[in-house]
Amino acid sequence: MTMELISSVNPGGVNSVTFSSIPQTGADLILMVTGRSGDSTTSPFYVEFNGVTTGYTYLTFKTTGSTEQSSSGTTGYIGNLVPSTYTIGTFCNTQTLIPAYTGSLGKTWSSDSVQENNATASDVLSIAGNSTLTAAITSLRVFAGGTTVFHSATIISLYMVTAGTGGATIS
Amino acid sequence: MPTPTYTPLANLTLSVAAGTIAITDISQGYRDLIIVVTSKLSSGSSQTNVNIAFNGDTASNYERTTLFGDGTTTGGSNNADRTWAVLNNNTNWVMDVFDYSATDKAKTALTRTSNSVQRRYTIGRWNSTAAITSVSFTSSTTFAIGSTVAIYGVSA
Repeated sequence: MTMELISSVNPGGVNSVTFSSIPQTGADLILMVTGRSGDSTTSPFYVEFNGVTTGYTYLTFKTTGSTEQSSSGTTGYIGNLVPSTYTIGTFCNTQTLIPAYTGSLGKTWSSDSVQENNATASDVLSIAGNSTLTAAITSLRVFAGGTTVFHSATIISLYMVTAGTGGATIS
Repeated sequence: MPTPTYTPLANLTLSVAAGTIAITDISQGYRDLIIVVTSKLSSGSSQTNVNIAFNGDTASNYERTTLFGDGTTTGGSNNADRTWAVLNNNTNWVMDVFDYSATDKAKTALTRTSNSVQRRYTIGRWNSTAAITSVSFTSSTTFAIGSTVAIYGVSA
């Protein structure tokens, strides 16, 4: 088993969750979010590494089914929580890869996400993110924008992909 | 009993800057490959192309289609070339190579690249029925010290 669950939480009613004491034995981290907002508007949500609040940039590539868009910003943006007004049972589903999280380079993330509301809304959002943090990631905070809280049906899970040898040679 | 998959095959952190990263002697016991690379430019700030080569083949046997967003605009292109990723500061890409050990089909791959100037998807095709035993990535600007490469095998 090479994709190991570090922890999974249900953060209903709170604005953020923090995964701390992340094992340093993996190659990559994968953050999986099935999320809804506790508010009536679409709510962005973010990551933050090691408690560092600055040095994040991102750019997006998004399609709504009829148009494509691209934008950029200076946060740890990873996706949008669908609003509480959307049909019960609809979610944003987001997978965020944080490769080489113990490495010495600036940390990056790639996020692929969908937000849907049956046939009335369907967005695909892809995000490239960069952080100036060069230290190993030991804690990871996931938080909603402003004072937004996560809906009670939200699940946030953090996985570690382990490294290994013996099946190929890299030089 | 579920079948264990996503098996780590090898990983490397570059201790010296290199223009080419080569993955060789790839085990043939899996259905797909997943290759994860993190890197940055060793010097300069201009985005450079990363050319792929399977089994050392650098001939005109490749084609690809690319979609991207650069923070302002979106775009796409298709070309008969091996530029399946790009390198800039703080770059990562994940490449899924499908059915890599098959000998009855051309090989295809999906590469998702993230860096400070693009989010980019490239669907590529290598027009060969040979099983893939090696993959190399070559950039005109070297991959910096600290770059990482990991390869995984996905079981059928």
